[in-house]
Amino acid sequence: MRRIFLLVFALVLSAPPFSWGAVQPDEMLQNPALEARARTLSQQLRCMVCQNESIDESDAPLAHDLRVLVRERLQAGDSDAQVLDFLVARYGEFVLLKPRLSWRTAILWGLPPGLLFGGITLLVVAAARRRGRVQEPTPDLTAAEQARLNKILADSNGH
Amino acid sequence: MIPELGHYALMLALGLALIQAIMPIVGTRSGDAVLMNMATPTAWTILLAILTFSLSLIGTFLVRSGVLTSVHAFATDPMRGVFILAILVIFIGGGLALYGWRAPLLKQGGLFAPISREGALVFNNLFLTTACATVFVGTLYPLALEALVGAKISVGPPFFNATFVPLFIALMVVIPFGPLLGWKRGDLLGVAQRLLAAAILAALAIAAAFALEQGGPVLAPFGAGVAVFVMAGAITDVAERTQILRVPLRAALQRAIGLPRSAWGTAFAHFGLGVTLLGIVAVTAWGSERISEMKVGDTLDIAHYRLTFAGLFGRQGPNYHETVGRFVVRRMNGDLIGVMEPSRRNFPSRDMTTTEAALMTRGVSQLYLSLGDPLQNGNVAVRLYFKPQVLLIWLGAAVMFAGGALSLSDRRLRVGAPQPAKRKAALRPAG
Repeated sequence: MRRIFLLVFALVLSAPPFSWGAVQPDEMLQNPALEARARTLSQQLRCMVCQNESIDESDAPLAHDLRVLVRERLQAGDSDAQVLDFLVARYGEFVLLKPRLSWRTAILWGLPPGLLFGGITLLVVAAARRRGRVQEPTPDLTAAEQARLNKILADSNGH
Repeated sequence: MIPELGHYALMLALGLALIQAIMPIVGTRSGDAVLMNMATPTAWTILLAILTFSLSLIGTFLVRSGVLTSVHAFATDPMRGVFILAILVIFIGGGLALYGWRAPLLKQGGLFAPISREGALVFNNLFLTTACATVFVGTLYPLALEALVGAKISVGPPFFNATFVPLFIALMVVIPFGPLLGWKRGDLLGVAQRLLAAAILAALAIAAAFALEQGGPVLAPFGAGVAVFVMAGAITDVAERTQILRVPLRAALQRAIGLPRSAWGTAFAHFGLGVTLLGIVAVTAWGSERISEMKVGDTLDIAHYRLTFAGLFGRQGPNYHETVGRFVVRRMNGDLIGVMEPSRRNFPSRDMTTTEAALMTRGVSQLYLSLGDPLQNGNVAVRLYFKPQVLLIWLGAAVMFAGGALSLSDRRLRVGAPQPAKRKAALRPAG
């Protein structure tokens, strides 16, 4: 079963028909801490067959093999980073669902904070400029406008 | 799934944008100065509307043309892609051209201070647009990178969890401030003081979550705290408007009846959002899962429930045969709660097997149980999930829906509804 995403809307749309799920009991490790790490890692690795699923969700045989491989590496004493490095060395950066920060992904990672803080700065600057403009005196009414205003006021007083 | 997320963020922004666009028109019709003044951020609103429609089309193009693999791509076809691309050019190009031509003619409406209700709306749209841009760039970045430098990378749920979620949490924290700020010029300090009770409640919720729930991410109790803050903020809004603690109950009730429906709508919608957030936080952080191979008589513990496998039996349906597993659910102290019967159905005519999960609702939490293929030795593989507070997600959505319906039924938005007499009197020039 797909891990529930942190957004209800995603939940509504993405929830697949309830399926048996991918991880099989015989794949699982006895050590619960190690197994939990394996699950977390699996969720970060893309299945090369069903490209929209992590290997934790995919029923593809390749995903099964990779899940077993991740668990073997963990049992061999690898750290999480070492396991990911191991897979990246074999399959490339493509397997990582969360791309690493590098010059290639700088725009990707920099965009959300950049846009937010850039936007806030822009709004603050615009507000400051607007405030500056308010202090300019409003031009007086022209003679024609004044006459029209007087007429309107006279009309409404007549009611 | 990810492109759809972006759609939703934009839809939210568009919803607000539409309200901002329609309100002034309704305002001019009914002579309501407050509504008319909402025309201030109009140009930006129109741009948002154009962007929303464009991105929906781009989403269609990406998925249907086969450029992106999507869960929802049922019929991909490059020819269709070319056709959609043509539509895209006409609509986006046309929309933006019209905007570029006419937008400078739009006069900026009334002025407002950055700390004001209007400011809060602009801030809100900034957050939602950023969230949308994050999804948009995250979706297209791998394509662009491959085309430009030939490197293949993936951008998946973990990336969006790391970028989208902080944005939304930050937005949630500021939500209660919005409705309490005055139009045109708000008093942030005063609003913060009025939200003190809500903040204290949120702090208590964080403490309670830490005390009650072991395990789960460290940040989860804070997520629950934010949810409680949003809910308490909505209640504070109503309490402030009705002055419930300051005037006699009778007077407060009268004020409550006299509140515009749109004010109730805001409170309901925000409260519902808090409820949903609480559900999401609980189910994400404190949900648990058991995967196990069981033989008859085995037990499996999850949260505060114990399931015993009572056996497998066959059952004939109208066009299928199913193998049903019977599991007895008990509390840890042995009290019987009920029976869960997940099954596997085989449809012989199509030679297809489906999994029918069993579902048990306990309060607002649920247990899901699903069966795997029967194994050689007569054992079954089972998958059991405990989803705490999962129903709050739906409940919150229902409350939000009620809020939307309430605000739409506001007198000022009903075409042809008579205006209250006193407002007309107030608008007539003295004379």
